[in-house]
Amino acid sequence: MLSKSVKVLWVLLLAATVAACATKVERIDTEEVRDLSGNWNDTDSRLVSEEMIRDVLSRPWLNRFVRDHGGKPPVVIVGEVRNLSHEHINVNTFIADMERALINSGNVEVVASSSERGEVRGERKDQDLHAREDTRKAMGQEIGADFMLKGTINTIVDAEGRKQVKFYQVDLTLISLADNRKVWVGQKKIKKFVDKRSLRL
Amino acid sequence: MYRARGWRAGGLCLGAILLLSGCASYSQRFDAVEAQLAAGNPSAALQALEKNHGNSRRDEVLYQLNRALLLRMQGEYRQSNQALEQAKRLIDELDAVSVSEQAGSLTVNDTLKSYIGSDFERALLHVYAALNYLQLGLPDEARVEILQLDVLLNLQADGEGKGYTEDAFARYLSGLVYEQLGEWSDAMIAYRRAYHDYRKYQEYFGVEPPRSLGLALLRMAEHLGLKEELREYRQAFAIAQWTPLPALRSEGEVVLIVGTGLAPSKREESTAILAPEVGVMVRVSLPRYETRPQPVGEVRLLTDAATADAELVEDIDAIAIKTLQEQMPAITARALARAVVKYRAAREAGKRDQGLGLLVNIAGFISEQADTRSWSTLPQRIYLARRFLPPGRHDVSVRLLGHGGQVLAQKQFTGVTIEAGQKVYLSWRWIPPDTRGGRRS
Repeated sequence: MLSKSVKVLWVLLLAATVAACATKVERIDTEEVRDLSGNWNDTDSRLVSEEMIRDVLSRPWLNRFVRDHGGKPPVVIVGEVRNLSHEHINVNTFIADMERALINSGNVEVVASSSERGEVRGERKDQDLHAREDTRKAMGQEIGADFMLKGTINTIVDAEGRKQVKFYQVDLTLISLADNRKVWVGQKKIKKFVDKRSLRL
Repeated sequence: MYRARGWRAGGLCLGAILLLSGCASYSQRFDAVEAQLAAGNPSAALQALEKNHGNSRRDEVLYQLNRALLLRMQGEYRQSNQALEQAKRLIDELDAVSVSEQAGSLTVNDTLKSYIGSDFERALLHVYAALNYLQLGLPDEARVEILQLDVLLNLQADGEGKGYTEDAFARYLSGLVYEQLGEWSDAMIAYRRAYHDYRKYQEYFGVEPPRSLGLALLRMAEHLGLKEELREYRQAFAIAQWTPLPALRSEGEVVLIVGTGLAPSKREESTAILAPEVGVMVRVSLPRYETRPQPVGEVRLLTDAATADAELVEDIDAIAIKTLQEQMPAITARALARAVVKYRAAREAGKRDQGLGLLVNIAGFISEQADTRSWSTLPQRIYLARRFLPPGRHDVSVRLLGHGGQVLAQKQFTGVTIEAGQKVYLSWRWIPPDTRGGRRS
């Protein structure tokens, strides 16, 4: 009786140690969806930015602006995307995705955001002192943006026991800097059901 | 042949048990950390903690929690939050019931279970993370913690337990964060819940609803036009006059959070019973809280213009003791079940071989340990003071007074910059030089 229970205990303990010590690495495609914790991940960030960009570039505000301004593309600045969700989301990857797609589309020009500007201005000041005159960039030649893109990430979490429903809503707005008009509002919703395991080894 | 196998199994069992349970209990190993804290040396305390850590995954959550608070004491808010994030991830992972650990806790002792913190510790994890973010000047990130806290508290309120089902201080802090971000209705809801929970605190832990919460409720209720509630709070807090919210927009606010002392530590209490007819010794070990002396009578916030009293907002001593009391029936049941398992194992082994029986008995006896793990770097009490100040630079100091009115300690914050409509969070953790000689409960 004793040796049997001792054996069972040993097998369990052994299994626990063996399971814990092996590290396995496997490369996966960046497009592949793999949800681990149910939290906001790369897939969500990509899905949202792709959908938003497709939407923002296909709406009438763009053509209207180009028509009214003699073929000149609008200049956009990316403002703050506020994280009002339940998770510490890195909004930077998502902003970078948006910026890249906007610039690459060729229909919109993007200027450096307020956080990036500081460094650029510092460099210009430095050039003023140290660079050759014919390569020096003058101050006061920056392009003012026509529109600002800003937004929020919100979540609603409904939890009961080990089950959770997570609802993410990302809202982005394009605001005309000249007159505060909102020319485009984009929205993307993601809903997840997370059922946490109740047993482990 | 049979005999040799029996000995081998016994030896294996003994070896396993000695391997699994370190000799000193967790709280005893923590004494070195505590000594450094009492000497006012958090960085040495952190070194002591790291040295004692070992590589047990079962205590990893506790290690990260203690590390976080020691880092916070040194003003390393960012690193402190990294530790808290790690603790959070681990708790999430370890929250599932482990089959092997359950078997261990029913046959060897309770320390074989992974530590994931009791309800109040898990709530305070988010509270400290939020405070770290607030002190880093990142209110949006603090808001994330507040939202996570809300999910956690709502889940906890659904569970068992009567004394601590909600964390009033956590709700109060939530209100402060929402207020800072200008989300008035969310602030109102959080303050309202805090008031509700403080009334429960009053009953169970002797902590009254703070007056500063009363003022916040009055300002918010007035601003949102909730006339009925306004009347109720005016009566409940006996406050006749307050500055309305719009009038305060031109001023900034200092929020002072003072943690005093150390949370109670768990100690082991063992009873050994000899079953004479079979010659088997059985031990039952149970945890018990030992609180520390509480020398602080009053906490005062002194600004250039005036003095304000900080109020007690969380009595961790009382909460911890109540929590353990509620867990005690289950802990005792497991300890008794273990005693039966160990007794029967020794008796069975003894029937085959007396020496083996003795060995199994000794192994069972030694391995019986109470689970004395708890988040010991938490303060004993948390005090909070709020004070509105005009924009500009201010010198702020905090004074701790003993029960007889004598000054225990004082701290100066020079050149605190106040901006209109903003809150500045100041914090101080004071640990008395003598943490010993408290009472048992």
